[in-house]
Amino acid sequence: MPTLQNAQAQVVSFLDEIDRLEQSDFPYAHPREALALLKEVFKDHQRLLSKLTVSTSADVLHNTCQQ
Amino acid sequence: MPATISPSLPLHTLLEMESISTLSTVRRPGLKGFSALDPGLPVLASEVAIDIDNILLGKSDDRTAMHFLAEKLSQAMEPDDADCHLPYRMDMATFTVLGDAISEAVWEKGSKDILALLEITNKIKAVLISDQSSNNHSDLEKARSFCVALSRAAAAYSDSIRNLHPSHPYRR
Repeated sequence: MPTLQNAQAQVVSFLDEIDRLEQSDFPYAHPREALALLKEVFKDHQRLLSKLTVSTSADVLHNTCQQ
Repeated sequence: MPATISPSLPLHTLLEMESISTLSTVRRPGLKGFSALDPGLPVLASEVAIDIDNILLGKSDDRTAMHFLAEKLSQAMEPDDADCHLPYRMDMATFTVLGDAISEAVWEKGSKDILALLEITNKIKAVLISDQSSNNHSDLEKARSFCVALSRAAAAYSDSIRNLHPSHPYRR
């Protein structure tokens, strides 16, 4: 399970950083839109990781965490 | 929609264009076809593997992602009338990724020509699209192995194409 916990922690860190960056001033709209897209990607990863449990097969667990 | 490659654009540019249009759009209904260049493919295959694993463990019976991948495989195997009446809609890169995944998952030993590959892909699709009652444990295990292998092969292919593109000199 350390692999899963590490992956979850990394995704949470990325989302926190995106939240922090979203508070910044953006002179143009595109970077903000890019951040929103990235946030969507990491939310999707977070959703996948939340489906994993202690009994998930090792192959599936490692493959998901690697992404 | 068939995966078409424009000869005037380098492959990494095409990949970036695909990335921009399909980033995190695994569930977007308008996104059609099965392509090795689809950046959502590794995540989709990974989710299907998780869902199959949860079905095997008796934890849930969510088959949404399974049906979505099956639909993508179906679209790839529709006859392509516009292009020499080919019996499929996949480019060679997609075939390579699919073949790698099937070989790694050892779905079936034997001939690896295109028609054999299509036949095996059809069997996988049948498992993914079927409902609860018609699945047996062994078929689901094979489908799970295939999805893990497909996720790895698609991610490796995307990485290899992305690495062809030199990074910007000002990039840290």
